Amino acid sequence: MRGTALGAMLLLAGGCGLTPVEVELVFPREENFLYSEFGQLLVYDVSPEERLGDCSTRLIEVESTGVGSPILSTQRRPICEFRDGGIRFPDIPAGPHAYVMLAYDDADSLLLSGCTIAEAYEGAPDVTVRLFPTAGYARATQGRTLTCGNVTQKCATGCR
Amino acid sequence: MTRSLLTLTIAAGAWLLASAADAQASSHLRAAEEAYLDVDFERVRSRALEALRGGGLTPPELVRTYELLGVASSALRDNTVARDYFVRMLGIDPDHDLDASVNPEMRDPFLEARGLWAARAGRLRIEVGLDRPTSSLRIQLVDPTDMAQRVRVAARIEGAAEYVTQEHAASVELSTAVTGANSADRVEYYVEVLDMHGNVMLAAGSPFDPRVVGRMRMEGGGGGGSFLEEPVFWLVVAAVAVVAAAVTIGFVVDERSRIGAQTGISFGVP
Repeated sequence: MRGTALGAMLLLAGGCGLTPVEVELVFPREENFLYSEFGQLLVYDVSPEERLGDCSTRLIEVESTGVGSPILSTQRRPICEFRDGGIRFPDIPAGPHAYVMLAYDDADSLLLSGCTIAEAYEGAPDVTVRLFPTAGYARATQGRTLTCGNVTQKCATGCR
Repeated sequence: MTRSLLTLTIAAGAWLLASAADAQASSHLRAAEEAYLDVDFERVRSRALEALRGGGLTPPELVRTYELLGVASSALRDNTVARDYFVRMLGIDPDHDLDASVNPEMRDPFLEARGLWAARAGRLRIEVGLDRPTSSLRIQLVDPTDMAQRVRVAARIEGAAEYVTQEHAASVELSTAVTGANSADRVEYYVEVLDMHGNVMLAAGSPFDPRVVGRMRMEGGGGGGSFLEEPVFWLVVAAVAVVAAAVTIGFVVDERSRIGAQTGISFGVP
């Protein structure tokens, strides 16, 4: 009887702490990450009548007129902070939302962007945001020689 | 008699003109295919663009044209453009895979395009229903590609000799009048969704194999319509479905506590 009560208490205690949903930011190649210096993650409402072109429309807007009015947004943070649960949102509202990730270089040029529509809830699969090079990527990285070879070096000692 | 002859002549003339345009688009596509076999990617791209801009391509031809444009652009190291062409190709046919002969190094833009679509749900489609009170066909268009410009609808009362064809600007929902549809048992139709060049992105039915909407044929001919044709029945079904959906959504939302999120990174296109 006592064991049953203890088990029930553990279950209740476990139930109170909801596991955060992982927002997986997928860079096409490691090199793309090495060129990036800052990142910004934004979450937008999507209305039910909007269609699946939302994400492409959202990215075009972000790249042309700015980030608009997200319901949640990080500041521009060093890109290395986005690893291993480094950036957190404490409270994602229920329902589907558009997750937009932007990566900039040290000259504030937008290098990569990505968007996906997903719903965060207990037990939800990872929210995967695939980043793609922007139209300005080639120009911004042309002629640059990286001084680091991998993510570990970049995030330990920096990379120019 | 003279009027019928005139109508027939105009229809034949229009058919011949359309056939000529289609034949030209197809010949450009054939030329692009020949250039592809010659591994001349500049020529592939220019011929495929001519085919695209010429209009009149069928859905399989349109998909193949975008595939050739994507592969040629990738081979010419114009990867951003190649990805855009592949995004359009997969928007029309999400299940399409690249020609097996394409070099693996040239597949990156295709994989990126597929990744872009993987994050989205749904596909290009239309749904057609008969709206007897307004004697019209009601067409719902789902276009995640945002490429559809026009919708061509041809309809006739079952048994009639000729279709009446109308074109509409693409929109989520549109209606096309069909004279006599309010009292007819069945209406035959075919629908084509067209892009900005007049290429057919999606076809439902054809002049020789039309789709049919209306009362189901009953063995033994019971006469009269099925209750499935009664608008009141569908209104009741819709009301029940809406209430059930609202209750379910309310329950689910209530059950889901708010939750946090945290980031991680990874590399590579799967």
